[in-house]
Amino acid sequence: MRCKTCHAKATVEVRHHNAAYCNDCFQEYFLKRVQHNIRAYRMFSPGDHVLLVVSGGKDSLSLWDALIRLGYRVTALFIDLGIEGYSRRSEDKCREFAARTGAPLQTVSAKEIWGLSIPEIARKTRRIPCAVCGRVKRYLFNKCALEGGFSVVATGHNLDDEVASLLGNLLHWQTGYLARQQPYLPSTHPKLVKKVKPLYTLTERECLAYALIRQISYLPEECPHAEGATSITYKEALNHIEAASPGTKLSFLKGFLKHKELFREYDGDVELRECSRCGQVTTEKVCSVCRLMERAQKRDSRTGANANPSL
Amino acid sequence: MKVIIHQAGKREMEVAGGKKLADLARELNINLEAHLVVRGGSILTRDAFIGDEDVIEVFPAISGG
Repeated sequence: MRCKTCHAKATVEVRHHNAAYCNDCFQEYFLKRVQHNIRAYRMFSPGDHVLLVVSGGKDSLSLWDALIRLGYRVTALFIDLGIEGYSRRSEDKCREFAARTGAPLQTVSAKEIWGLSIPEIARKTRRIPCAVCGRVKRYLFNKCALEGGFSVVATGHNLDDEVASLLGNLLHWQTGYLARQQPYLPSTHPKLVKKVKPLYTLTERECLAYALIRQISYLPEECPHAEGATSITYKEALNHIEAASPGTKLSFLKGFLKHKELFREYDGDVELRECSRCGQVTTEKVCSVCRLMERAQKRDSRTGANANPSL
Repeated sequence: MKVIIHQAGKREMEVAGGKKLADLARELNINLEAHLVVRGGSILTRDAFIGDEDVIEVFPAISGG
């Protein structure tokens, strides 16, 4: 197989574009796709200060590398969830990348803020850890972006993440989620920072290829709580279809984004206000994270454990 | 050939070589849309010929959460 661009021996086949590339041309292709996505949705401009949420995995580290190479002003944010062993190894990978590139990295820890790790909060509130984790991460990256004066938060969500969410939302007719699923979520309140996904058309396999070619040292292991996650089942099913019919994942997502108006009526108008306790944006008097922490800490005091409700 | 699979730790196996990667992937039930295969630090396309003495590494692309 030959490189589509320079005709040297190809290394990475990109079947959904009926193409293959050598290492150098693949990097060019990857950077062009990221740049195209940023411009197509006007996610941010070279003057904007972007807060990039990183996990130490191949996707967020590849995006970090790509944004630096494209000349954007990026600060990375690592959210320490307090998952035994896994969080430490994830942070080490982020620190290693930051040290190698000289790029700025901030960290925030759930345990330092609330006195409880994500698994502890999940256990005390009898919630699924992944549900607690998603909510707390969204809360923390918005809070960090506001406090740091960032105009936009970027995440490493890729095409596989997006089509797995889309399939899950369709299978369960989550019309509200379908109405809101897009690679660009604008700010709808002065204290809500816009959120963007510059990798939304690039597959996990392409992110992995970029990370391997760039010799980015990423954490290959899964979060222990993700084992058996439904999203993995959806991704595997979609990749079986993709193998038989290349391009299905991309056309599934692009078709959805083209016809998104169909779900507009389900995006109900909600009144946004500031949480009476923490000041973050919510639809209720007290935001869902403050309510969650209150329940976890109440349970903590009943059991005599030492909680630190310092928010 | 030796196949090293980087999934949930590291797994190694010996498989007969002398075939294209696409055929080997089918034999090992590896979906090439969800994995990358590397030999000597270089990513392989599905038409790459794998010899009996080769050592290849399989990297999964899918992550959850």
